[in-house]
Order: sequence, then structure tokens, then C-alpha cells
Amino acid sequence: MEMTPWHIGGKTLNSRLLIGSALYPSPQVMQESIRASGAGIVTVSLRRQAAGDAAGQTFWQLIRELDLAILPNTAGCHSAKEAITTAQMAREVFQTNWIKLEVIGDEYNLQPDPFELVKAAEALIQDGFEVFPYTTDDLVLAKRLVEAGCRILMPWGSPIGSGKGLMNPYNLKAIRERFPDLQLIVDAGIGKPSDAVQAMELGYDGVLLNSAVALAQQPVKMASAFRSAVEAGRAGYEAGAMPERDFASPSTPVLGTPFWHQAEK
Amino acid sequence: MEKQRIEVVFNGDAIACTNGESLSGLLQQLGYQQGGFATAINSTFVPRSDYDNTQLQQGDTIEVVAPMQGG
Repeated sequence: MEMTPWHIGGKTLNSRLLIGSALYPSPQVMQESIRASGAGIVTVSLRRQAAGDAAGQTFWQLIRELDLAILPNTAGCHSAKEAITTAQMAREVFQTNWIKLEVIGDEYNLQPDPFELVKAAEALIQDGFEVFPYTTDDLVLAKRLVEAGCRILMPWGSPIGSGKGLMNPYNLKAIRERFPDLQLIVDAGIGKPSDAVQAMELGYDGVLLNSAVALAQQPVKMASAFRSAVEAGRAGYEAGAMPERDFASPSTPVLGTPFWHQAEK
Repeated sequence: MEKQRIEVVFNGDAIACTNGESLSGLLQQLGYQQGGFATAINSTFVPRSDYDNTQLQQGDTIEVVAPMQGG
């Protein structure tokens, strides 16, 4: 399928799928799955490294071989201060001003802390970052992030790693309608390809997922399924769905109907 | 005169180093090679260009991070 190029954060990409690099059964499956997904953006993270521990560099080499746009995250941060420092470290290591801003407010559902999130977003935008904020589907929080200068929003479908799909399509739709010009990405909670189709049909610009592929029984095959799902959902959105009706309407032309329906008239 | 020893916390572990030691000196001693990692002291980012001029103080908390899988 010929896809319309997508412009995000100063880059032009063909795929509207963003994929994570964690939880795969092996580094090789990770690499193959990310390739099969066709994603143009891959998310990565930062962790403490002991001297002489080559694990981080080996992983980084595998990611570099994929030649994709890198989106570092601030996973594990619980305050604006932590997230800002992590973002600054990520900018130096990964040589990008992109940051997936995560500031967690609750351990049970990994829900973002809205207050710290806005504070961190403001500071990072001032510092020249392109902020991809991981947020809830709260419309007012979305407004605050936009006021802080965000040009991209990433509301959750449902909690990270839950695979529950889109819990509240109404809220996601409201954000889409309220901010027609923003780049909107559903991030977190996607479990099945049909969830990705639904997000794209709502008019979202992209989908970010990780566990749905990495924890599938066949990650490479699932990555390919998500590639198709995102393309199908986007094409469906661009094509424009027919209006929904509460009554039936025959799809087969009635003109020239032979005798068997004549009696009902 | 023997240089005074101080204690800092490096990636969660207490270690001893010389008072006035630079960040670049400590990283070199610990075997960190050029590139591929970033640092923060007391939760504040320290750019690579400042490693030579950053002198470690008693009780500093130093973090060194490198690329890792993420979602």
C-alpha cells in the first residue's frame, strides 16, 4: 500500500508506527521484529552502566544497525527534576533533541503525574527539546501541555503493558477533535492489531507500542501484523468512512427486483 | 603531604577518591572509555565538556548511564 509521508518532529517518515526495544526474547528477535514492523521510530532508554559492562554498547550497536529515528524515554522518572536530567543525558548519548517524556505518578497503573509532566515539558521545550509527552487521555491536561509548547501528544490507550486496548475512545476522540493540527500518537495499552486500527481510524497520527509485539508468541509475525494494521487504519481514515445509520439500507440495487419481493410492497 | 580522601556514591555504591579529583579523572580510573555514556552529579546533568573542570566533593552522588532497551 502506498502510504502518504508523515512529518513529525522535523523528520519525514513513511511509517506511522513507533516501536519499543524492550522485553523481546532475544536481541536478534528484537532486531527482526523492529524490521518487520516497518517502524520509522524506535524507543530506547538509559540505565546505570558499570565500567567495562559492554551490554549497553552491544544493544546500542544493534539499534544503530536498524538506521531508524531514535526516541529516548525518561522511563522510571517520578519527578520533573529527574525527567529533565534524564532527558539531558539522553540528548548527549543519543545525539537527538527528541524525548519521550514519562513522569510516573502511580506505581499501580504507571499513570503519568500531570503536574510534574507539565513542569518538565515546559522546561525541556525551553531547553530546545522536541517533547513527546506520555499522558493520560485527559483533555484539560492535553491543553496544558499544548500551552507549555508541545506539538506532539501521546495519550495512553490504557496502562503500559496492560494490552487492554483503547479504554476510552470517547476521550481520545475529544482530544483529536479539539487539537486537529497536533501530532497525536496513542502510546501504551495496545494489545492487538485491531486496537491499532481503531486508534488510526480515530484520526490519530501514529501508534507507539512495545509489549504487544515483544510479548506475542511470535513477535516477528506480530510486528508484521501491526505494520498492516497501522497502514489499514490510516488508509481507512484517509478514505473517510461512510456515515453510520440506525436503520438498514439495501446494498443491492432494488431496481428490477424480480417477483419474489413484489408481494411485500 | 598525603592528599585527603573523600567518599562519593557512584552508581549507588560508596567509593573513596581523592579530594579535588576531577570527574574525568575518576571515570578514567574506573575504566570508562570515551563516549557511549552520560553523567549526572547530585541529580544534575554534567555535559561531557565539563568533565575536566568538575571537581568531586565529599558525599557527591554520581550517576553514569548508557543505552538500554526501552518502550
